[in-house]
Parts: sequence; structure tokens; C-alpha cells
Amino acid sequence: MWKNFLKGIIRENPVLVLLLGTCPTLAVTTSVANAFGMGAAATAVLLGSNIVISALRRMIPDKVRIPSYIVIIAGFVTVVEMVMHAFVPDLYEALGVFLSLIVVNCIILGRAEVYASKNRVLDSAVDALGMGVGFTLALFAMASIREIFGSGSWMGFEIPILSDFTIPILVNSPGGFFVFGILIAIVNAVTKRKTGRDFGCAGCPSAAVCGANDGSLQNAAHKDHAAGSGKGPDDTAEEGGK
Amino acid sequence: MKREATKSIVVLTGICLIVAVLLAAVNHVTAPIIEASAASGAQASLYVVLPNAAGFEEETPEGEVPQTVTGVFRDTGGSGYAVTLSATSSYSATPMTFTLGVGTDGKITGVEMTNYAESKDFGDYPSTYVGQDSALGGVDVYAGVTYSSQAFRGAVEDAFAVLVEMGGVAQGNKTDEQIIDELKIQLLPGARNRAGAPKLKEITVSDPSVQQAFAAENDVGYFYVMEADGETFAVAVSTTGGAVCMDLTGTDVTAQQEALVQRALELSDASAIHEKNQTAASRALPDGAQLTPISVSDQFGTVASIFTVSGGGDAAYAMVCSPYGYRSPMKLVFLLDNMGAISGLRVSGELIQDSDYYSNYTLDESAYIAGIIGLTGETADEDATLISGATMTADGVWTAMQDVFAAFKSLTTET
Amino acid sequence: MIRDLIVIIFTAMLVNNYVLVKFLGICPFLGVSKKLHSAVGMGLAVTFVMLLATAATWPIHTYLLTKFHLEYLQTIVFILIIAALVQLVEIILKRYLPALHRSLGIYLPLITTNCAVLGVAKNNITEGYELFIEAMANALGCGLGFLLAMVLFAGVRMRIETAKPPKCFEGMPITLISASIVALAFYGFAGVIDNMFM
Repeated sequence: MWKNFLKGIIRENPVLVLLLGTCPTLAVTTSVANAFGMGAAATAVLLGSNIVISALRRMIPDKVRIPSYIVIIAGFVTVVEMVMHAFVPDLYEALGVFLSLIVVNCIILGRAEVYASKNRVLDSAVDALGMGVGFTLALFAMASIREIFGSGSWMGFEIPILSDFTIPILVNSPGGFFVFGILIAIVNAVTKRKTGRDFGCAGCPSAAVCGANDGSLQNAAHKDHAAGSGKGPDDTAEEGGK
Repeated sequence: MKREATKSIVVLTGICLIVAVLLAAVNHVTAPIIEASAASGAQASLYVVLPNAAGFEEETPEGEVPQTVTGVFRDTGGSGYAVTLSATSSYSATPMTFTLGVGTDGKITGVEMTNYAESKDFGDYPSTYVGQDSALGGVDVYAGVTYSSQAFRGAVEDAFAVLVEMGGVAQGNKTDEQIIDELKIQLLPGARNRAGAPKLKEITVSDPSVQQAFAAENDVGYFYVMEADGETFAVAVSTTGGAVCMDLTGTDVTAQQEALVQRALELSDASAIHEKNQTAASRALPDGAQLTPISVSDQFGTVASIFTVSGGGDAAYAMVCSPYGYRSPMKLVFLLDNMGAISGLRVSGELIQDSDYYSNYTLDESAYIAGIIGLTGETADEDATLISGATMTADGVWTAMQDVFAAFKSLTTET
Repeated sequence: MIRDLIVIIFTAMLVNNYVLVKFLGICPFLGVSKKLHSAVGMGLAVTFVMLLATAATWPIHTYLLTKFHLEYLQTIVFILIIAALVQLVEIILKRYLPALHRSLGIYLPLITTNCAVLGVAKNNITEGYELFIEAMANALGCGLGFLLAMVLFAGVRMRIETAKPPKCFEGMPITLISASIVALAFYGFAGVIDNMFM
């Protein structure tokens, strides 16, 4: 159980290891507060959808699996949206469109497909919490770097000295890509992971969902990174270099 | 197979319905809270711009209120007014809304943007307005977001107009520089571009009484800032021979400052412009037509040169205009008969500028001109000059046409 | 009118580029930009689906959801419409235009869960376009911006392939850092639109 929880935080961290959910990771990490808000919202949706999907896993016919998951996830996202709009309007404004885009966040649909649809409710809930916390921590780390060096503050509190020497580009879009790149490189170096790991459907659990293991796709455009597409995330982390 | 399909549809529909019902329930709970917080958010901005306010009471200003002003609130404690504004720039589809606080001394106490997608790009521009009075002497258009900052400034001006009209605050004093900028527009209207800005370039004139001299970029006239007896005057001279002088209170002193006006007229040598325009005008006329430049004393519009025509068929006068179109000034030659009706129009260069911008835009120019010929000051209306899709160009033609008719009227009454 | 539309298109394409400025659709941007021809295919497919999604979601939101005060169903309705549309287009392409299906169709299933498409549908509403044609212009601009970013980045990546960065930077990190430099280039467009259309 505890191991199940921890895997989402370290070994299978959705952002830094599985390279999922890059859009919100880059977009909302301009401040630590936003990152926390996003992480909490995604965790709530993940928890809710994992529990419901796991509970309904025997009822949902295979054919309408994906549409059903999407509806359930979209339902939870809308609930979270409305609750945040009502009780934390500032955060709601700051996250903007990315709040509703949790619907298409690969982490959520990926966990539903890979884990919740095959496991018991309790396990799915633990898995959701682990992944959610892992997502939140990754956002938190990234936002801390960007906010401290980009705005000279942390959680909105000004840091003396640093606030006089800010690097504003870090809180803009180029800085997002840059910090994320550096962060992954650090993770690579620390874990001594075999590098050369690439982005693409290989690391994305929704590859199976979105049709990436459809034969035509592999043969045509995805030839270059089709290796391992359709595999679950559990066995992709050590994909070999070229 | 069939049973499975039915089951799929039933389950999916069921899930959709349950989710929809749950959402409706949550919405029922949160909607009032969202509405309440939105309303208090609007109120909150009032306290941000007037921090010492005791409470706010909405005022209903008399008379016509500009569209940009969405609400005027008076501080019940008497520290001033808060005005909510909504300005739409031609750049963005969403209006920017903001709240402006004005103290009883007529100075801006605070600006709070309440909704503006590009507010990040706006930086601290709005805060440069704090401390300004209705003259807005110290703020410029913000480079990079020109349209938005123009709309912003316009809305602030509207807010002051309403407050001054209500008797809430006193009008601020303008600096000499601002007054001169306004006189440039007022005295030499023909030199304005479509955005209403005077397009003048500074020239050097060696005359001790002249502090600053400008020539209109479209060759319709000159503008001088002159000094006499320690007082500053603005003198505008049009290339058609008109001259007017005003002091900085906006009083016409042309008659009193005769020497100054005379000096300005001497400095304004437009013969080169007329020569150029004469060539342009002669292209609109049959060969052998004789053109003689003449002047009128009271025209400051877009007409740059007026010629009498002999041997040009119906045409008795030729007038060369340079109104601003979409971007740079156009050059239009209007021919008028003895009765003041347009007997010809020639466009030098292209009427629709930047034709690659309007890549699929085709204007049948000869048909367009045919629709204008025969019009007089009495019969002309704006529809004749309308070019759909090229409003700015059409506006320019219409302005020029009105100026031409005005010049003709002045010609016939003067002689 | 034409001018307004052109401003909308260019703003969406360059200044507010979905990928490089707004961070929407990063997954396909990083995943499918390795080869030029797949980048073009994906870009065109996304543009097409964005236009299609806008053509469906904008009227439904304006004439149905708003009218019956069902705005809270927006997310769920939009994602279902997009998913259904993508399925439908795939079936139609497969049946009637197999050649086009071979070149573009393979990207279509990837697009359902592409946040750029849902993002366009939602942004059309939040940005308050009052006319249908304005929303369509915005969708076109966003799609073209996506295509432009994909194509440019495909060119950059071909160079990276042959480069030899430090070991821990290989793969994703160096790709992200080059994306950062491309994004920096797009940053320069910020003031362009204003000055171009003065």
C-alpha cells in the first residue's frame, strides 16, 4: 500500500519521469501558489475519477470505455471548477483555461485506463493520491525555481536581495521550457537513468487510448518513437538509448 | 452483439445523465456564491482606488454619458469619486474594464484593472496616471500596446468629462505644450490622419519670433509657435493662403496680431508644392489646359492647391487634396465646373493602398469615380464615397470632398 | 471587418502562439515534431480539427447553452463534441478520401485528447468573440500558429539529432531547451501586431 503510494512520487513521477501533463506543468508554474492550486485540483479530479471508474469497472462495456471515462472526468473537472470559482476566485482566474483542460490531461485518463480500470477501489484511490502528490510536488519544485529567480519571491513573499536581481524571462514562456529542461536533466543525472529517453507515445499511457498502437500509426509517422507504445508506464521508465 | 451495443448505449447515456444531474446540483449551490463574490469584487475595486472611502453611492449623471463610463460612484465620506470604465480597443475583442478613483482635488488617486487579458503587457502603465488631473499632462501612449493605451486614455478622458459635467471635480490646467498640441489639430484640421493625430514635421525657420515651426506631412499647411511681446501665439497657415492666429487661451487674435500673421505668411512658401500639384492636376485635364494657382483666405482643410482652369472643357477649377487614407496621404485631383459640381476626379497612385494587404480586394475605380461625378455641395452624401471594407480610405475621400465644396463656396463668396 | 479578422488571425498565430506562448498542445509539439513531414501532417490535422471544433462548439454554446443557462455543462459538452467530431471525420476520411486519410488520418485519434483543440473551443468563449466568423478566424490563427511552431521546431530538431549534449541532457532536456530558444524568438512578436496595423 505504502509502496503503491510512493511510486507515484518518485519512481513513476508523472511529470519528471513519465513526462506527462507537460502543458499545465509549463503554464501554471509561474508562481508557487498557482502550482499548488493546479496540483490540488488535479489530485481531486484524479482521486474522484479513479474511485468512480474503479467502482464501475465491471459495469462499463469495453466499447464505450473511453467516452465514459471522459464524461466522468469532465464531470469531476467541472465540479472542481465550480467549487474553485465559488471559494477561491483569485486562483480560479489565475489558472484560467488550464483548470478545465485537466479533462485532457494525460495523467488522469492514463491512470483511469492503466490502473483504475483494472484494480480495486482502495488501490485505485491510493494510486490516485500518489500520482496527484507526485504531480503537485513536481509543479511545486518547478514553480519554486521560476518564482524565486523570476519574480524574486516565494509563495508571494518577497525575498530580500534576490528581488532586486530578478530574471523576468523565467516567468515567461521561454523560461518555462528552459527550467523544465534543466529539471529533467537534473533528475536524469541524479538517478543516473539511462538517457536518450525520448518524449512521445512511449511514455504516455493514453497511447493505448488514443490509438497510437493502431498499426497504421506505428508504421507511418510514429516509427521513430513507436518502441514500447501501448505498454503501461510501469515498464517504460528504462527504455534504452539509441 | 446487439445486446452488447444496447448495453453500451444505455450505460453511456446513464453516465451522462447522472453526471449532468450532479453538475446541476453543484451548480445550484455554487452559482449564488459565484455571483455574490463577483459583485463584491466589483465593489472591492472601488475601495482599492479610493482607499479612504467610507462607502459608495451610485450617481446617475445627467445628460449623455459616454459608452465607456459604466458607473459613477460617490464616496459618502466625501473623499472623491470612483468611476468604472469599459474601453474597447480595436486590437482586442474583449473590452478592458477598470476602475478609476478621482479625489475631490480632481487628481487621480488610483487605477485598478478589473478585467484585461493583456494587462500583463500593460505593465505599470495605468499607474502612471495616478496623480494626474483631467489635463493628463504627464502620460503618453504606451509603446507596444498603442491601441490599448489609446483606448485606455480615451476612457479616462471620458470619466473626467462626466465628473466635470456633474460638478464633481474641477478641470485640470493644461500645460502650454498640451494646448499647442490641441491647437495643431484645431487650427490645421487638414493635417490630421485618420486616427485624428496631427501629422506635422518640425522644420527650421530662421526668424527670431518663431519658437517652433512645423510643416504638414501632407503639404496642406504650416504651423508656427510664435512669440510677440513676451506672449506665445499659435499661427496656422494653409497652403491655399489662409492664416489664423490664436493665443493660448484659445481666442482668435488674427486681427490683433496682424504683423505676426503677415510674418508667418511670408515664411510659408508653398510655390514648390503648388508646382508639383499643378503637374498632378494637369494630368486630369486635356492637353493645353491652362492652370493658374489662386488662394482663398479661410480654408484649412485637406485642399493643398487650388487652380483656375482655362481651356479644360467643363472644368473651371482644379483642386488638389491630400487626405489621409488607410496609412499615408492620398493625392486626389477634383475638377469642378462653374456651378461647383464635380466634373472629374483623378487619383494619383492607388486609391486602395497596400493592395497586397487587401489581396483579394478589387475596387472598380472608374465606376467609383463615376458615382462621384456630378455631385455638388448640396447633393453629396457620404454614401457616394463609401467603399465597403476600406472605410479609412472612403473616409478620406469624403473629407476631401467636403473640403473641396467648402473651398468652392469660399471662392464664390470671396470673388 | 477584413482588417479585424486579419488582426485576430495574426495575433493568435504569432503573438499568442498556442504552443510557444500559451503552452497548449505541448505533447504533440514535442512528440511528433521529429520529422518534417509528420510535423506538417499533425499541424494540418490540428488546424482542421480546430476549425471544425469551433464551427460546432461556438454555435452550440451561444445558441443553446447560454440560452438555457447551462454554461456549467460547457466542458463536458465540448469534449464530447470534439471526440465525436474526430471519430466522424476519421470514418468519413477512411471511406471517401483514403489518400487523405493515409496522410492526415493517423494523427486524428491523437487530437481528441489534445488540449490545444479544447483550449481553442474554450478560449473562443472566454475571449468573447461576438461573431461566428471572428471565432473561426481565431481558430484558424491558432491552428496556423501550431503548424508554424511544429514546422519550425522540426527544423531545429533535425539539427539536434546530430548534436552531442552532455549525457544527462540527451533526449528530452535538450529538446526543451531548444524549444525555449524558439519560444524566445516568438516573444519578439509581442509588439508587432500593434505597429503593423497602425
